[in-house]
Amino acid sequence: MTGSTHLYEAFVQGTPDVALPLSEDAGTITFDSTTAPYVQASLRLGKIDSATLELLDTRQSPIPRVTITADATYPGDTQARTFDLNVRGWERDQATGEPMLRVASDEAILEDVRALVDDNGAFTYQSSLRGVVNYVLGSCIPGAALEATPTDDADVTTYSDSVNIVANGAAIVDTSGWSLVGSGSLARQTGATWAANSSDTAFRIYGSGSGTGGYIQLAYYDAASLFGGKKFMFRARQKNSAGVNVGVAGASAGDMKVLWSLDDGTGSFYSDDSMGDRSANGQKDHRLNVNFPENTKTVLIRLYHGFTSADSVFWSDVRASERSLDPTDDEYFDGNTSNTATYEYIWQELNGLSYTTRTAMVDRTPDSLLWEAGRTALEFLRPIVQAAGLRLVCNELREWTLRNADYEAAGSTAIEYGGTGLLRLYAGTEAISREDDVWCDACVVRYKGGRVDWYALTDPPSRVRYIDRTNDPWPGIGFAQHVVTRANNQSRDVTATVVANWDTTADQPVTFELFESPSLAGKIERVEFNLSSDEMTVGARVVEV
Amino acid sequence: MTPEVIDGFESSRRVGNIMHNVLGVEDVDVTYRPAKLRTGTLRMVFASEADALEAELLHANGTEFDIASTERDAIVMSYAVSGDITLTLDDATRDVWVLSVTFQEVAS
Repeated sequence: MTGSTHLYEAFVQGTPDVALPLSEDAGTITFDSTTAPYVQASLRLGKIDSATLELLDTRQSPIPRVTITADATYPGDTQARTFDLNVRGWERDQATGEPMLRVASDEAILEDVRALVDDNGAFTYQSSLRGVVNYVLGSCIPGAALEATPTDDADVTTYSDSVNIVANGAAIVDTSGWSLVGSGSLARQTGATWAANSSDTAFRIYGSGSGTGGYIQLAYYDAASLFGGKKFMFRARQKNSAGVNVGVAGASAGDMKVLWSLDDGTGSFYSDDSMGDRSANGQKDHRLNVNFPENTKTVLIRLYHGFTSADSVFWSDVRASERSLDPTDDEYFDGNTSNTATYEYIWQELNGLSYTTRTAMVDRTPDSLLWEAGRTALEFLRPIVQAAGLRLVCNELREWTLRNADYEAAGSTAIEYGGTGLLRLYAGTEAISREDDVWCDACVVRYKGGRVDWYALTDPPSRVRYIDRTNDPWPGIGFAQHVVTRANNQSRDVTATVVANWDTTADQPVTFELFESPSLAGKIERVEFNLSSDEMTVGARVVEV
Repeated sequence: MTPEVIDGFESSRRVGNIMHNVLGVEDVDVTYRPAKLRTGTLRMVFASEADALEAELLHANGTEFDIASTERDAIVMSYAVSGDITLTLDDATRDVWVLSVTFQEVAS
């Protein structure tokens, strides 16, 4: 005989904490590695006064939190476990007066929060999935962030095709296309190592010294097909010479301006300005976003000198492109930019004097990192995290982790049929099936726009699983392989009910010695602690060892 | 209220221990939980009809009771009525009244 005692307590967190009476039939706490939230609990409370019940009103912000503790004594061993969960709601039976309280781990909060407007803040962190996750966590739950370990990360940088329609954006060959307006003069500058372009060339505007220096202008006439109704991004780099600010800075000194009109340029112009750097040796990357009206006909790009000084203002790295969803996609490129594994750059006509196309070599488009208005934080993160073969989990201690397929929680659980150990089977089942997606050797995932990610372990596959993600933007390949690998490492389904062992948790290694069955090993997928019966039910996908 | 006599006393306590049937062996596992406080039926004998009715009414009002005894310490406790309150005219004497109350001991 193995005898043990299990004591449960619960309280609402606050100053001070307020104890909650637990009914004898206290309910369950469930860990499930296949669902979000990872931890969910239903607790039956005993007789409770209305002031305490008010503390559990989940309509308040911040959401009330409940701590549940379990203290267990076994022969020669004690265990304790604490659960820190947020209140999802309660329901009180008027006949018994006992409320049923539902609490969950913090992923539940990520399902509460939806973006109110399209949120492109994640692009800043796109070189690191952890950065993206932390950005979303921080914006939903103050102070929430991933634990330092496990360190699993992924580059989720998005890539998109683009065209730099500025044919001569860096004076690589000459200054053609640009005309000087006002006083001063225009020349081509070489050896401009401050410039981003690979040729180290730039436009140089000399001031006249006597009057306010002019500007150089690139004009697009009769350009309705190029600009009409489109959203554009303009960028350029400004560099001042050492003495330019000795003179008087005019109203437009160092500015970049974009002007547009709805006629051939003879009537009135609308404009958008980016203010220049007006310091000695100053340097600035200008950027302007312009949404052109449908009937735009004329567009002018103006880069200013604007100082009353004989010294120069340099300009280079001019790019005008249709705007990407990615706000960080404002780097300069031209056909001389070195091709990489991710991008290919091609002059469309003459080198240095024509449009440049940038072609994405990696298939991960910016819509996967745009947190669209109306989507929950979890809906936004799920496809990106899964494409990296990871899972986002918040455990019962509010610790956020990204877990890969090999992740194992600390500790281990060993369950046997009969015998003399602690975890002896009270009830259980064992199953092998081609159905219910327990096992598959191939997987197809369909995303928005009909994009498909598939993976097959054998050719031809014997059982193919289908996952519908048609509401999610294409996050790149990866998830299908993750599903197949996981299904093959864990293809036998076991559930087992034993005495509650408070060191057991989901994602923990588990072994089973079952009746007339080979030894089985795997990871716990689901564990339900039953506070009413002091038992736990472990569900696992396992393989024969 | 003071009954003439308390007619016998028997109490029981419901045990909270949970038995778990272990598959494949004779043995069982036990998880221990405290037993509940005493329950039973109190039979109080009253000589007058008026006293008996007053005692019935008091029990029906839904409050906690304390028992004091000049003879038996064992029955000293606080209790709440947990079942029926039964008032009987004693068949043998046709004179005294017997009030039976199902009680649950409570922590005072």
